[in-house]
Amino acid sequence: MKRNTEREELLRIPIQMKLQYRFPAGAHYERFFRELKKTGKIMGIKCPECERVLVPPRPVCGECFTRTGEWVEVGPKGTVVAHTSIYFPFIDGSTGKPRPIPYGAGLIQLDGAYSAINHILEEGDPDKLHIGMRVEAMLKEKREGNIGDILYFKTIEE
Amino acid sequence: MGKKVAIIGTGQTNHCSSREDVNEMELVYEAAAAALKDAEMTIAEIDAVVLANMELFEGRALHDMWCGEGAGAFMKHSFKISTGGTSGTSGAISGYYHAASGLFDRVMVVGFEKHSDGNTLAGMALTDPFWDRHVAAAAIGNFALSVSEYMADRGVTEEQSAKVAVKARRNACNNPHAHLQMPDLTVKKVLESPVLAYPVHRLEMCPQSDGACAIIFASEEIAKKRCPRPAWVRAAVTRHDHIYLGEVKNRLATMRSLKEAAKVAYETVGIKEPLKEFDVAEIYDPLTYAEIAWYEALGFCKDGEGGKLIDDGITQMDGELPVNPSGGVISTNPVGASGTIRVAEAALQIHGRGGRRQIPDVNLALATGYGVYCWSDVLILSSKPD
Amino acid sequence: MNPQVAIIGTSQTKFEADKGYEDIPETVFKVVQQAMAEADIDRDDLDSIVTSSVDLWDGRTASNQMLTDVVGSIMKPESRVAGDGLGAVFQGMLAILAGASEITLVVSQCRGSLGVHNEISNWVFDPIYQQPLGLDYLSAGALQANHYMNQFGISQEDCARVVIKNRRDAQNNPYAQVVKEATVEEVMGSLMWAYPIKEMDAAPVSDGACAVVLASRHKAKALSKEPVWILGAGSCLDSHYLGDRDLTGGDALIRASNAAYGMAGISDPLKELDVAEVSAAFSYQELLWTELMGFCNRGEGARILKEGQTSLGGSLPVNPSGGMIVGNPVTVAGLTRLVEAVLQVRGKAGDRQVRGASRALSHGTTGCCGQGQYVMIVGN
Repeated sequence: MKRNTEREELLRIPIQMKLQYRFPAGAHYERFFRELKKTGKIMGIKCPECERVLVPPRPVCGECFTRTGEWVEVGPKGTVVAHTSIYFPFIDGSTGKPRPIPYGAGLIQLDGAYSAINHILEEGDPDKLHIGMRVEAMLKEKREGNIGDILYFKTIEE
Repeated sequence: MGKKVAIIGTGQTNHCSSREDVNEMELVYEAAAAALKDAEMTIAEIDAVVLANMELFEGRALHDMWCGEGAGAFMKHSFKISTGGTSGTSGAISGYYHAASGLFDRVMVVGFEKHSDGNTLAGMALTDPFWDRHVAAAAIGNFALSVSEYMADRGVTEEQSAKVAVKARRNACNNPHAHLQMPDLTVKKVLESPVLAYPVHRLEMCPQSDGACAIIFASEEIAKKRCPRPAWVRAAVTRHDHIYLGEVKNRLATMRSLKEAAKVAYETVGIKEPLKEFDVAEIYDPLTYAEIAWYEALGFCKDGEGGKLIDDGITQMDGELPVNPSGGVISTNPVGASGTIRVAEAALQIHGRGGRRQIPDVNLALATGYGVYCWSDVLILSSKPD
Repeated sequence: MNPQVAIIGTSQTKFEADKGYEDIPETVFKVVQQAMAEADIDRDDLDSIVTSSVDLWDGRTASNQMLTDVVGSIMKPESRVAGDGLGAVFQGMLAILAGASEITLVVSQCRGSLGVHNEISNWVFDPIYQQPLGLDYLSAGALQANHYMNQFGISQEDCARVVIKNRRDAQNNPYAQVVKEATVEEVMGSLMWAYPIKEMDAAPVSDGACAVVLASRHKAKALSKEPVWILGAGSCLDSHYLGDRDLTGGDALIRASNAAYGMAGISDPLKELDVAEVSAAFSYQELLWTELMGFCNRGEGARILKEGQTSLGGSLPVNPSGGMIVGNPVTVAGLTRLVEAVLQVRGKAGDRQVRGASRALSHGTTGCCGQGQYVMIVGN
């Protein structure tokens, strides 16, 4: 008698997704990354109505539905407003490969900015991370004009 | 004004991590056929079909082209709603609009997702190519970040979070469709499960499930004729918020999109004390901490008292307001269907067809949807049309 | 029944092969501002927003998220129809009819230059049978073209004349991407892509966006001097597998258009409509769709075109804008057709104006070979 265990495996059809995209950075990201690459400055943009300094910079303040205005340098020092330590190999969307674990990640409110940004923290030990701690952006020597130019945020004493 | 509309039938598939036995279109069919059976209807009676799912998790474009037939959309009006995590509730709201518009009398909504067909983590990582792709650790990293803010702000404890996980997976044991059923789960076991992103443990997160859920909406006359106890849609509200996690302070605690949607929905129905007035709630809890935060945003308690609700057993099956008798999203999570399931489960409770998960005498039920902090949906269902 | 939903504002971008430096939010913000300005409303007046876009064409997940700020949806209801923009208009119209919204902004965007159109359209086909065969919109379209041309004795030259007409009319359309006139010889001599579809028979890959503002009867009367009413609307989905469909039978389009005609009280579209804007990604489709929508008998699409009935000045001009053949951001196509229909009814279509147009048809499709069909009739 045929047994269930002898049943053939159900058919799966493997298809690999290989799609190429060319994303236009747009005027705001372009300026942001150009500045980061050339001068190492991190720039935010100010809404003329609510006066919030937004990072990343963008064409429109969603809160006021108005065009953003003046460019403002922010950071490189900032305050951790949220933190975590990652123990699971999530995929890095920019490379398609998992990032080595464990590592620290945080929401960092750069000095002079309203919005906090996601980034990697040098410190990965949850016991050494706390809200309100001060950090500073560490930049690549040879910058390429992308978000990876900020390597991570390093804990600082003030 | 729109016409009165009720949910007269629901159906779901069995959910699990990989439904090897069906393809995605067949999965959709399973849910649609179950809903038709529940409503004692034939597909010929359905006038319009709304589909809902994420798109990139299976990597497909215009998913409804293939899967529409499974939902019975052939030769009918149909389109697909995709709004991230709220796809399932937004699809339900669209289905409600269809029936309330007067143009369609019987409308099928099917939310679906077959995570095992693709790579969900890759799909989630495909966010803003200039920014988040490099630095955000998909959804869970973002959750963990906001949990750290929320715990610091509101004093919620790991134990309280773990209690939500225990409640959910035990409730799921009463739901034959649920993915994660864990009768023996304890707070200790939850906190001993691996930390994915500190302080979030694996057992505090939602799983990835394959599954689909269908709902049939009907106009007043048909609902009264065809359903002994229709679940009337009394409010359906959506609110949207900023996409960058850091642009809203203390995101979990604030959750202003959910607060505002709930406020508008409560005003529409005249609800003043949600904890007392609702008989059951099915809320979209992507992780345990969120359920506690939503208690506060939905006004079940004051800010900072969400943990106490779970400590006091208020939201348990036998509590004052049972939350997620189905086991919730942390027990079953086919993303595009997760919102639809909330609405279906809320309707099921009013229909009185909840089986072992039935709460006695449900007259007023709440369902919510959530999508990456950007969207909140709130629906209120009632046993009375007005 | 009095029409209940009106269009009180429209706008469209120029369609371009590559908008280059300008990113999607910037493009969309411009059309949103223009449509709202035309409707004379500001963000506080908006009750809801519906967008239309498809993740895979945008190359990112839940891609409508990137529009949150620029469509004004912070703390407002936004929903997305993942498909053609005319489907999004349906969703917006239903929300108004349901009493859930009085003013709804509908926005559609697509940036074809981001990815590779035919690679992406392969992902529309089911992953088990059709996708692995390598089908895409072009090769599937070629199957439909042959089926249609063979059945009714349509020649490649007949199809080429669609291109000639549309490129000629596009001279009058400042938003068109392809503005070079062509001859039958040039079309016939262009590169054969998938027999019988040649390069010049096909819509180009485009970047662009469109927006319309919908209003309830009450709000439209209060806000607009020239509301254009949605008189009829119909939509229908066909089978997915090409072999399940009668590729030229077009049941879905027949049903969708009949539903729209029924609502609008139209019995003879050729006589009762003044202009039609039709979503045809390939030249043959314009002939086929016009037949299925009852502008002529089956197989006569090429004849009425040759006779000039569907040209500007004919009894029912089809695509005086030039149609998709002169600009085709994928999901935006149907909404563009609606915007053009509204401009015609308002008498604001510039040099492409059909004189005295008061009732116009707009048509959108989604999926391959017209699997999903939308028809909307507007009038003043």
